[in-house]
Amino acid sequence: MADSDMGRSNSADPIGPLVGGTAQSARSAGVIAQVRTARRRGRKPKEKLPPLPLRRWIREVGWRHLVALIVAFFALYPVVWIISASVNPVDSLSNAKLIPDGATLDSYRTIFSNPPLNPFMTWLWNSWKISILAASFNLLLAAMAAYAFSRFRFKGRRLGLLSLLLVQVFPQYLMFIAIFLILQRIGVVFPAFGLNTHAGLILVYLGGAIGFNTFLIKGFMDSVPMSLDEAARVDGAGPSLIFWRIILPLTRPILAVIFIITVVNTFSEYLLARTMLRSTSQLTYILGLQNYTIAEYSSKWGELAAGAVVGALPIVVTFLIAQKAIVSGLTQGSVKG
Amino acid sequence: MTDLDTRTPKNTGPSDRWSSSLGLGFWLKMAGLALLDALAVYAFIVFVGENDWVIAGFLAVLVVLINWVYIWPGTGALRWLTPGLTFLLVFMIIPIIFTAFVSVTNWSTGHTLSKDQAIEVLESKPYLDPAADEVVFELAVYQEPGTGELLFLLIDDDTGEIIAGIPRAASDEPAENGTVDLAAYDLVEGDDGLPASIGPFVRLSGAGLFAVANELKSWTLDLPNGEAIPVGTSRIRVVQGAQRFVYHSEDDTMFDKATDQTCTPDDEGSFVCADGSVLEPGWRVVIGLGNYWDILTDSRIRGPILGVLAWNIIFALGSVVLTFALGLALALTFNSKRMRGTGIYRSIYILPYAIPAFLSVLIWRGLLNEQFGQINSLLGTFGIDPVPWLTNPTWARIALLLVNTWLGFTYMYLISTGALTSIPTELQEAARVDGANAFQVFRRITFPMLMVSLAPLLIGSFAFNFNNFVIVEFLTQGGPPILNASVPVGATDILITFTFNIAVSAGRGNNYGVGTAITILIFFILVIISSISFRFTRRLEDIYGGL
Repeated sequence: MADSDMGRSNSADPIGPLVGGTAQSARSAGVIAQVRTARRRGRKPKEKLPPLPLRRWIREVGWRHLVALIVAFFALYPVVWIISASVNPVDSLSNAKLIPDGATLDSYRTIFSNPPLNPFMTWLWNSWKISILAASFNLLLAAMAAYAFSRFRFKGRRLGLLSLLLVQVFPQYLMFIAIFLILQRIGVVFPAFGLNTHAGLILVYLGGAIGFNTFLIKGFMDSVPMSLDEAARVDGAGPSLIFWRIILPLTRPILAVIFIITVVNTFSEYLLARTMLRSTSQLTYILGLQNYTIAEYSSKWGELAAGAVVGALPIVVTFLIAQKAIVSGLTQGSVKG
Repeated sequence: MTDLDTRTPKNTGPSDRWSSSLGLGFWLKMAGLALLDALAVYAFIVFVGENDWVIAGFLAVLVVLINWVYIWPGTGALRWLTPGLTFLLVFMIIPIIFTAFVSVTNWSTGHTLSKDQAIEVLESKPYLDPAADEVVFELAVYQEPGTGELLFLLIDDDTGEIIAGIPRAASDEPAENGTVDLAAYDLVEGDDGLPASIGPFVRLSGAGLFAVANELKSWTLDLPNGEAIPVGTSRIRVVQGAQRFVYHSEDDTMFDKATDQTCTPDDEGSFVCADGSVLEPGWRVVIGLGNYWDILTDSRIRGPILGVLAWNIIFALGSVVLTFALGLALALTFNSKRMRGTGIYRSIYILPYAIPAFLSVLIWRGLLNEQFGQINSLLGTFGIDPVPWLTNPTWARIALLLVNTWLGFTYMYLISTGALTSIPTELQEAARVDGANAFQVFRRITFPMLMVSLAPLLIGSFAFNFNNFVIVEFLTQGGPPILNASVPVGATDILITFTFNIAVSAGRGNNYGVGTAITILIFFILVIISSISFRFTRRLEDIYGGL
């Protein structure tokens, strides 16, 4: 279920270049064709049911829409309201109308002007930089480890898998005190990786790279048929080439999902960032906004609202586009904070 | 598994392209390894220089192992595991061990240094020796006309000794040494025996001196011995400090010259003097299970912690129950062949889930504002009095659960829907044929089968919410505060926010020792949750596995 769901969101053909560039054996070509069909298999068309008389429709379907709409109201209420507050010319918490009188984009202008005291754009840039870099390295390390567990047979393989699971019981951010003291020490030798540096924070985030994600990816890699590896090996490819050209492209759907979720999780990470980063220009969005709220909460509500919209928009759009892929990733157990 | 990078493909055609990319990969790998080794050697030397043999030794072993993995042929799987494992080791495993270590020390503000460092700090503390004379300096000011940079000459009134130095603003961080060697400059002799110019610096007098006179107060000159002379006016009086504490290594005592008494080290990492006063700073010592003992027996800490723990469990459990109830109800509502528009509804429901939690929680905080918030004005239109959402302990807790339900129901809806569709409908239909009503079918068949796949996720959600730092910190900051508590604690604090306050952000200084001890307690709770999860999952599979 999950596999085909995810495949659909990914229209590009990941194995095309490989097929075009190498002489594949007939057998592996067949496997590839199978994988492709699995990807193309669309949504089951809904059964055509005869329309119901109105009273039965209300009893059987209508109430469902009522419940759905009530929950939709609950879900949308803060979202709609925050957009309204962000265009409110009065920096006030209370606006009676959905579209306030004299709606203005002033709050957004302030955010985008990157004021020196509250450099929203710098914070946002820091957050995206750290999240995307950390998530990319994270994914690479997790995929490499997953490849080792999926394709190699070695002593301690089961034990290794099991201990990886055990370590995951302790979330990394709980160790913020110890990590703070360790980074302090690293900073003595390599100031570029010490406290209050983005590089140091990214390194810390990589500590959680191989863990649960490795299991998800490994499960996915296991479903890529070994015959593909063998065919490539016959053609003279070594483990590296098989990893980069065959396994990675074929596991791209789950990698994309994990990447998105890791980016968002890193974007929202608070404890470690708070312990490591100090100066205003180094802060991430979550820290900057928190400082801003503490300093200016009562007076600058419009800017906070606009800041929230600006921060959330790219992520919300990504989620809406990649909905199905993310949902199927979820049912397999990846969790967004 | 043979080593990929030294293997030459025999095939022609596509393999030729591969082999060229292989070569590049090999050299990149070697370059990376060389860089890593260079950095490691440098770090090793620094740590050895600081006598930090633990870190130096660890570093050496780690780097030798990494080199072995990538140079020795036939290390197969390890080559793929090493990068991730290295980071796991340095930033997960070692922090876990280190956390356990810190929890048995008194590491806290005033006890952050090693004993040697603490002695060094104490010995560098000056005091005003009443017997010593004050020194009066005459000041001559030089300025570089181009940059405006200043250079001071301080002439000791008694000895005539001259100190030359480039000052810093008093608000800047102290430099190690602000003095300069006059021999490095070309000097032009002046009228009064002092140079008229020193290299590019020209002596200021009259109007020129008057122009910078106001500025002078803000300058400070750092001497090589660590003293700093505040430059005030053209004549400066500095009472030269004398070393106050003298350490006697033979009997491990500290002598205080200011009070004329001997101070001896105690078990808790401080020198205690004859009159009972304690010298700052102290140093960190292993105090065994003292922090744990405090948590478990000291009523000033135990009381708040028990309250926090109770609320922590209620919060995590309540969050799971509420989000799952709403999510499952929603999934069941949509579980009908005739339901249309599920895609649109799902796009709406995914919003609370997609928006980064910290942003929506900040927004909720505004919505829940007692006086101006939208929620209270909405309630007001129904004639309900304003609710003190964030200021009353009970309402603050309800607000947290409400907001967490908003944040989490989507996840539960999505996984419930996934689980519902994977249940074969034959069983439900058979039960209906046998005369069960809809509720009985749900109660006896659908729900138990759902739990097989959802139970681990629910327990995972419990563990996640158990340490859900962001929602508490951003919605209530743990507040409203509990008055009269001996430690800073609020009505909605959970263990992790409580720990954070104690460890790093409280106004009363940092207490890493107690903080890490609570962290270890959280570890134990997580281990219990996880083993329950494991057993529960196994049991459910045993029962329903055959279906």
